[in-house]
Amino acid sequence: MTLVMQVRLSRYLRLYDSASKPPTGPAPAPVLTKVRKSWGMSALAISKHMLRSSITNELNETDQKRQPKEVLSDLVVSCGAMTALLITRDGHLMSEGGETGYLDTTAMAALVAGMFSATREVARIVGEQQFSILLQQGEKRHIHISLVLGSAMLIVVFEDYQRIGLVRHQARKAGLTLAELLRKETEMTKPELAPELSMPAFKEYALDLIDRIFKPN
Amino acid sequence: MPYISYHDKVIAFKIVYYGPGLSGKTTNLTYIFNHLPEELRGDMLTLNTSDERTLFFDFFPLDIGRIEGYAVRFNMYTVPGQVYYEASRRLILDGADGVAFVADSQPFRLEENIDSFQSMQKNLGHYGVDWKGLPIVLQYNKRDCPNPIRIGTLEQRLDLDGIPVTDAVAIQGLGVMETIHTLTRDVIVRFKL
Repeated sequence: MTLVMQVRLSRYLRLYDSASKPPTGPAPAPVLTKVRKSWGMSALAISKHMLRSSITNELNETDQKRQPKEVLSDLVVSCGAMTALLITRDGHLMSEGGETGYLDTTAMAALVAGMFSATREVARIVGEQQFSILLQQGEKRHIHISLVLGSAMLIVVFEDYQRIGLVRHQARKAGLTLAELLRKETEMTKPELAPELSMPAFKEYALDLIDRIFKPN
Repeated sequence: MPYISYHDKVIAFKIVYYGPGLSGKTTNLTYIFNHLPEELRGDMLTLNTSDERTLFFDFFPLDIGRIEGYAVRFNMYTVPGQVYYEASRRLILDGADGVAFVADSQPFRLEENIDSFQSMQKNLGHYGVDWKGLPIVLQYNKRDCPNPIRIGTLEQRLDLDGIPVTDAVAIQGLGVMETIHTLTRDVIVRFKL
């Protein structure tokens, strides 16, 4: 099954013109994360504490004000990749960075989410909770996929396989920033996020459109 | 719960066609795809086995338009019906906002319909979703077969009091649009932020 999906994915990547590869940037210095051990906490609490600590320690104020699209665009530049996508676990495209004209991002999101979910089942079969990183190696193009907060996935498409270490490092860094941005968004309430969205009017228009599109003659 | 991007102003609902193998899920989806204006739909993606059976899922996105500043999309999926793809079916149900259950009206497939519906209930439960709170439409497909099962049989056997029901001959397009129309309306009516 994975093989079939890899073939499909490679179909969506085939049209890229390598001459227009995005500029590459210098490798940044490695980031050190300090985690303070908290006595008396449960294993789960410690693990959540470690995650939160590592996120806050590595994010500066500028990072926290950015939008996912900017983070993805910077990621593409910093590791010389072609494209970076952020998708939900159930296959919705959330944001994109870099060159995307050569691929069907909607189909890509649906396929990768399915592939990642299938891999999670495989992980459970062999006694793991999940595999947090997936790497698909092709002849010219490769895909690095990593989990963000367990509910989203970061996809990086790149060409030069020798950059895999850099891709992995930058994807991890970007993943932490994105995790923090997503966490903040989930903490915000609906009126803060969408003050203009009126539910009765939305439903009325949506039902009218559905009637026009699907109503049998 | 649909995917909502407040920043990009997108609301996306996930619609899943579920049911036993060869009941007509892909036929439903293909008919809808072929009868929508091209500007509303993206490409259709199919992951088939060598004998044209659905391996993982069929999929296409449908953009119904912009409402209150938000682009509204239905992402349409089918699951593979064959018994041994249970894990795939469970994965695709993740995040579903509405389900069209396509039942096969041929009498000898009654028990498979029941097994499939029960597996759907169980798989939704895996994600903490109570199927009773989810928009579901029951489609009796293949109504042109000899001695089709009586409409009401599945509701009675599965205790599905009040579930919306449609009858269809999907291969001729009959009942296909009624089913998706009923389901998407229900999804919107129950939508909450």
